[in-house]
Amino acid sequence: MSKIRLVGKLNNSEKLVQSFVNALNIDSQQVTDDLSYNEIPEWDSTAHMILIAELEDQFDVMLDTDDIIDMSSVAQAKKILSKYDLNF
Amino acid sequence: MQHRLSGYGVELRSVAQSDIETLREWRNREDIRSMMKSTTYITEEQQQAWFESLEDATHVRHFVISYKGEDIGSSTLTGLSFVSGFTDDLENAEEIEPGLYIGHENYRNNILAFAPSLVICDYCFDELQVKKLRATVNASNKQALSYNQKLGYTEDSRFFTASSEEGEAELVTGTSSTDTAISNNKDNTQNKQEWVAMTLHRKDYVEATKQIKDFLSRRKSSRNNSRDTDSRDSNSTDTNYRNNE
Repeated sequence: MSKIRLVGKLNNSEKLVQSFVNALNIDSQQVTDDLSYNEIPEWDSTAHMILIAELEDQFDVMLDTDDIIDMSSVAQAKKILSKYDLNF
Repeated sequence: MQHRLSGYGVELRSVAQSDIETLREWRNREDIRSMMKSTTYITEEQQQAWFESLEDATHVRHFVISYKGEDIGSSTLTGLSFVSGFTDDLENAEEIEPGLYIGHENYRNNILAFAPSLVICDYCFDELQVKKLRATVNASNKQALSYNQKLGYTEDSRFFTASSEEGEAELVTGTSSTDTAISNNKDNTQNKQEWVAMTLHRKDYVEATKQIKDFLSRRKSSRNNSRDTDSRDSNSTDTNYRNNE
């Protein structure tokens, strides 16, 4: 029982990686701070919209247009989410 | 006449004398220049002559794109065919070819690049009432091809140009998109560029951009609000147009 809870409870960094994996349909090893919008074919505008929805669900936040535009890399995603009292 | 368009967080204004050096610097960058039909390096004198020629040009409009008060790129509208044979004014255009590049480093690979295109397309279809938009994209520019497809453009045909020493493109051959005749020209590929001619109809544009329009028109709202609640900023969703004499 406690094992299931431990596996199910992800920390913020793990949630972030999982959001990128789900939205971009990529391997978790590809999710590094340097990964940027349009750098790989999987992170296009359509995937970006899915990614925003994933992040909002994972972290229970509502991102505004400026956040969406600024979120052009994994590092930027961490920086923006930090504004919502989230630590990475 | 000065034109000012806005929407989706960006503003487009007619190019002014004070803008032309920034535009020249962006336009001369290798990564931007190499994707243009004319790849020539533009001198200060040429840029000034180009700007002065705009005063009499009615079939073309050049804009500077700004975001949060900072200039980020440029867009051009060129009329290709006109309703009346008596005027080539853009207001009289049946078909327009929009052009766009983002010069600001921070926004080169950014979803914001869709915003000025949405403004331009809205303006062309809704205000200028054009029948269709056209685009000519370097076939090696996969990002631009994908970008145009996401706006609803479809491929019409492909053709080749040969670059002269001055960097001017000259038409070599054209072929339909379903034609495989392109391979006939493989033996003469030096300095030869392949181009993709694309078309955008209003219906396809509206359908293709529904989601991204909503996405770029969000406003700050509480997470407690239902997702189904329309959280778009009504002031920024619609493109605004303003002309000043």
